[in-house]
Amino acid sequence: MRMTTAEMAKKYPKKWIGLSNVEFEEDGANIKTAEVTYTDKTASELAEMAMDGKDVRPYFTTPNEVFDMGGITW
Amino acid sequence: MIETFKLQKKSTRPLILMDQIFPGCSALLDTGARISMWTKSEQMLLRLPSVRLLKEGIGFSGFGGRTDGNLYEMDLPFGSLIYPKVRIIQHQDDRIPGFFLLSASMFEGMVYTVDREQNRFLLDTRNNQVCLLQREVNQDGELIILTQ
Repeated sequence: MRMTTAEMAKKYPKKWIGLSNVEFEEDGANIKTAEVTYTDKTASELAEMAMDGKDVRPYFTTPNEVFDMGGITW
Repeated sequence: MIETFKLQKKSTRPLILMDQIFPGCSALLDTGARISMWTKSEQMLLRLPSVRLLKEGIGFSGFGGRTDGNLYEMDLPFGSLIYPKVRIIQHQDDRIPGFFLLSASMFEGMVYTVDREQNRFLLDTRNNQVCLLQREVNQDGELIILTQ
Protein backbone atom coordinates (compact mmCIF):
# COMPACT_ATOMS: atom_id res chain seq x y z
CA MET A 1 0.00 0.00 0.00
CA ARG A 2 1.48 3.35 -1.02
CA MET A 3 1.65 5.92 1.75
CA THR A 4 3.17 9.30 2.50
CA THR A 5 5.70 9.53 5.32
CA ALA A 6 3.09 11.29 7.44
CA GLU A 7 0.72 8.35 6.97
CA MET A 8 3.50 5.91 7.81
CA ALA A 9 4.24 7.80 11.02
CA LYS A 10 0.61 7.72 12.05
CA LYS A 11 0.01 4.07 11.26
CA TYR A 12 3.41 2.69 12.35
CA PRO A 13 4.78 5.05 15.03
CA LYS A 14 8.23 4.40 16.52
CA LYS A 15 8.90 1.59 14.11
CA TRP A 16 11.40 0.46 11.53
CA ILE A 17 9.57 -0.45 8.34
CA GLY A 18 10.69 -1.63 4.91
CA LEU A 19 9.79 0.50 1.91
CA SER A 20 9.73 -0.37 -1.77
CA ASN A 21 9.09 1.50 -4.99
CA VAL A 22 10.09 4.75 -3.31
CA GLU A 23 9.08 8.11 -4.75
CA PHE A 24 11.53 10.79 -3.66
CA GLU A 25 11.00 14.47 -3.17
CA GLU A 26 12.71 16.94 -5.50
CA ASP A 27 15.90 16.76 -3.45
CA GLY A 28 16.30 13.15 -4.52
CA ALA A 29 16.93 12.01 -0.97
CA ASN A 30 13.89 12.53 1.23
CA ILE A 31 10.95 10.19 0.75
CA LYS A 32 7.64 11.50 -0.59
CA THR A 33 5.68 8.25 -0.85
CA ALA A 34 6.49 4.55 -0.88
CA GLU A 35 4.94 1.15 -0.64
CA VAL A 36 5.20 -0.26 2.85
CA THR A 37 6.28 -3.84 2.31
CA TYR A 38 7.64 -4.89 5.70
CA THR A 39 6.46 -4.02 9.19
CA ASP A 40 7.78 -7.02 11.08
CA LYS A 41 11.53 -6.78 10.56
CA THR A 42 14.31 -5.19 12.59
CA ALA A 43 16.39 -2.37 11.15
CA SER A 44 19.28 -4.80 10.68
CA GLU A 45 17.14 -7.34 8.84
CA LEU A 46 15.89 -4.63 6.50
CA ALA A 47 19.41 -3.32 5.97
CA GLU A 48 20.66 -6.78 5.06
CA MET A 49 17.89 -7.10 2.49
CA ALA A 50 18.88 -3.72 1.06
CA MET A 51 22.53 -4.81 0.88
CA ASP A 52 21.44 -7.98 -0.90
CA GLY A 53 20.06 -5.79 -3.67
CA LYS A 54 16.37 -6.23 -2.90
CA ASP A 55 14.05 -3.29 -3.39
CA VAL A 56 13.78 -2.63 0.34
CA ARG A 57 14.74 0.57 2.11
CA PRO A 58 14.80 0.62 5.92
CA TYR A 59 12.98 3.64 7.30
CA PHE A 60 12.26 4.78 10.85
CA THR A 61 8.86 6.40 10.97
CA THR A 62 9.08 8.85 13.89
CA PRO A 63 12.67 9.98 14.50
CA ASN A 64 11.58 12.72 16.89
CA GLU A 65 9.69 10.45 19.28
CA VAL A 66 12.48 8.20 20.47
CA PHE A 67 15.94 8.19 21.99
CA ASP A 68 15.16 11.20 24.10
CA MET A 69 18.57 12.16 25.36
CA GLY A 70 18.11 15.49 27.04
CA GLY A 71 14.35 15.06 27.14
CA ILE A 72 12.52 15.86 30.37
CA THR A 73 9.36 14.62 31.98
CA TRP A 74 7.17 16.51 34.37
CA MET B 1 37.09 20.26 -0.13
CA ILE B 2 33.41 20.71 0.63
CA GLU B 3 31.09 17.75 0.87
CA THR B 4 27.32 18.15 1.00
CA PHE B 5 24.97 15.60 2.49
CA LYS B 6 21.19 15.59 2.65
CA LEU B 7 19.46 15.56 6.02
CA GLN B 8 16.20 13.78 6.72
CA LYS B 9 13.64 16.58 6.73
CA LYS B 10 11.35 15.14 9.38
CA SER B 11 14.04 14.71 12.01
CA THR B 12 14.71 17.68 14.27
CA ARG B 13 18.11 16.16 15.04
CA PRO B 14 20.62 16.05 12.17
CA LEU B 15 20.05 12.66 10.51
CA ILE B 16 22.48 12.40 7.61
CA LEU B 17 21.38 10.26 4.67
CA MET B 18 24.15 7.84 3.62
CA ASP B 19 22.77 5.81 0.74
CA GLN B 20 26.25 5.13 -0.61
CA ILE B 21 26.67 2.48 2.10
CA PHE B 22 23.30 0.87 1.44
CA PRO B 23 19.88 2.30 0.52
CA GLY B 24 18.29 3.75 3.65
CA CYS B 25 21.51 3.98 5.64
CA SER B 26 21.64 7.04 7.87
CA ALA B 27 23.75 8.57 10.61
CA LEU B 28 22.69 10.68 13.55
CA LEU B 29 25.18 13.46 14.11
CA ASP B 30 26.01 13.54 17.80
CA THR B 31 28.18 16.53 18.58
CA GLY B 32 28.27 15.45 22.21
CA ALA B 33 29.90 12.10 21.41
CA ARG B 34 33.63 11.41 21.39
CA ILE B 35 33.49 8.17 19.47
CA SER B 36 31.25 7.03 16.67
CA MET B 37 28.91 4.11 16.98
CA TRP B 38 27.12 1.48 14.94
CA THR B 39 23.70 1.13 16.55
CA LYS B 40 22.39 -2.02 14.91
CA SER B 41 23.38 -5.69 14.86
CA GLU B 42 26.91 -6.98 14.82
CA GLN B 43 25.93 -9.32 12.00
CA MET B 44 24.94 -6.38 9.83
CA LEU B 45 28.05 -4.39 10.73
CA LEU B 46 30.25 -7.30 9.68
CA ARG B 47 28.66 -7.21 6.22
CA LEU B 48 30.13 -3.77 5.63
CA PRO B 49 33.53 -3.74 3.95
CA SER B 50 36.78 -3.71 5.93
CA VAL B 51 35.21 -4.17 9.37
CA ARG B 52 37.44 -5.76 11.98
CA LEU B 53 36.76 -6.56 15.64
CA LEU B 54 39.33 -5.01 17.97
CA LYS B 55 37.98 -5.68 21.43
CA GLU B 56 34.81 -7.00 23.02
CA GLY B 57 33.15 -5.59 26.12
CA ILE B 58 34.25 -1.94 25.94
CA GLY B 59 32.49 0.19 28.53
CA PHE B 60 31.10 3.54 27.48
CA SER B 61 28.80 6.06 29.08
CA GLY B 62 26.27 8.75 28.29
CA PHE B 63 23.19 10.35 29.79
CA GLY B 64 21.56 6.96 30.04
CA GLY B 65 24.35 5.66 32.22
CA ARG B 66 27.00 3.15 31.39
CA THR B 67 26.84 0.17 29.08
CA ASP B 68 29.05 -2.10 27.02
CA GLY B 69 29.73 -2.53 23.35
CA ASN B 70 32.28 -4.09 21.03
CA LEU B 71 35.01 -2.00 19.48
CA TYR B 72 35.53 -2.31 15.77
CA GLU B 73 37.70 -0.69 13.18
CA MET B 74 36.51 0.06 9.65
CA ASP B 75 37.26 2.15 6.60
CA LEU B 76 34.21 4.40 6.69
CA PRO B 77 33.11 6.01 3.42
CA PHE B 78 31.52 9.40 3.96
CA GLY B 79 30.46 10.90 0.67
CA SER B 80 33.60 10.96 -1.43
CA LEU B 81 35.74 10.95 1.70
CA ILE B 82 37.18 7.92 3.39
CA TYR B 83 38.06 7.58 7.04
CA PRO B 84 40.58 4.73 7.17
CA LYS B 85 40.59 2.53 10.25
CA VAL B 86 38.05 4.59 12.17
CA ARG B 87 37.19 3.20 15.58
CA ILE B 88 33.54 2.51 16.09
CA ILE B 89 31.62 0.94 18.96
CA GLN B 90 28.86 -1.51 18.13
CA HIS B 91 25.90 -1.46 20.49
CA GLN B 92 22.48 -2.46 19.22
CA ASP B 93 19.58 -0.13 19.96
CA ASP B 94 16.72 -0.02 17.47
CA ARG B 95 15.30 3.07 19.18
CA ILE B 96 18.06 5.11 17.58
CA PRO B 97 16.68 6.44 14.29
CA GLY B 98 19.96 6.02 12.42
CA PHE B 99 22.42 3.21 11.78
CA PHE B 100 25.48 5.18 12.81
CA LEU B 101 26.04 7.80 15.47
CA LEU B 102 28.80 10.05 14.16
CA SER B 103 30.84 11.82 16.77
CA ALA B 104 32.05 15.39 16.58
CA SER B 105 35.61 14.08 16.80
CA MET B 106 35.32 12.93 13.19
CA PHE B 107 35.24 16.55 12.13
CA GLU B 108 38.12 17.87 14.19
CA GLY B 109 39.93 20.61 12.29
CA MET B 110 37.06 21.04 9.84
CA VAL B 111 34.12 23.35 9.48
CA TYR B 112 30.71 21.72 9.52
CA THR B 113 27.36 23.34 9.03
CA VAL B 114 23.93 21.96 9.78
CA ASP B 115 21.64 23.86 7.41
CA ARG B 116 18.05 23.29 8.49
CA GLU B 117 16.64 25.64 5.88
CA GLN B 118 17.83 23.51 3.02
CA ASN B 119 18.20 20.30 5.04
CA ARG B 120 21.89 19.86 4.33
CA PHE B 121 24.99 18.95 6.24
CA LEU B 122 28.03 20.69 4.78
CA LEU B 123 31.52 19.59 5.62
CA ASP B 124 34.51 21.75 4.69
CA THR B 125 37.57 19.62 5.29
CA ARG B 126 39.80 22.74 4.92
CA ASN B 127 42.11 20.74 2.68
CA ASN B 128 41.88 18.59 -0.42
CA GLN B 129 42.56 15.28 1.25
CA VAL B 130 40.23 12.41 0.44
CA CYS B 131 41.44 10.22 3.30
CA LEU B 132 40.97 11.63 6.74
CA LEU B 133 42.29 10.31 10.00
CA GLN B 134 40.12 10.48 13.05
CA ARG B 135 42.11 11.48 16.08
CA GLU B 136 40.99 10.93 19.63
CA VAL B 137 43.26 12.66 22.12
CA ASN B 138 42.74 14.36 25.46
CA GLN B 139 44.21 17.71 26.46
CA ASP B 140 47.47 16.00 27.39
CA GLY B 141 47.77 14.60 23.91
CA GLU B 142 47.13 11.06 25.07
CA LEU B 143 45.09 8.62 23.06
CA ILE B 144 41.86 8.09 24.94
CA ILE B 145 40.21 5.21 23.11
CA LEU B 146 40.67 1.67 24.42
CA THR B 147 40.80 2.40 28.12
CA GLN B 148 40.37 -1.23 29.10
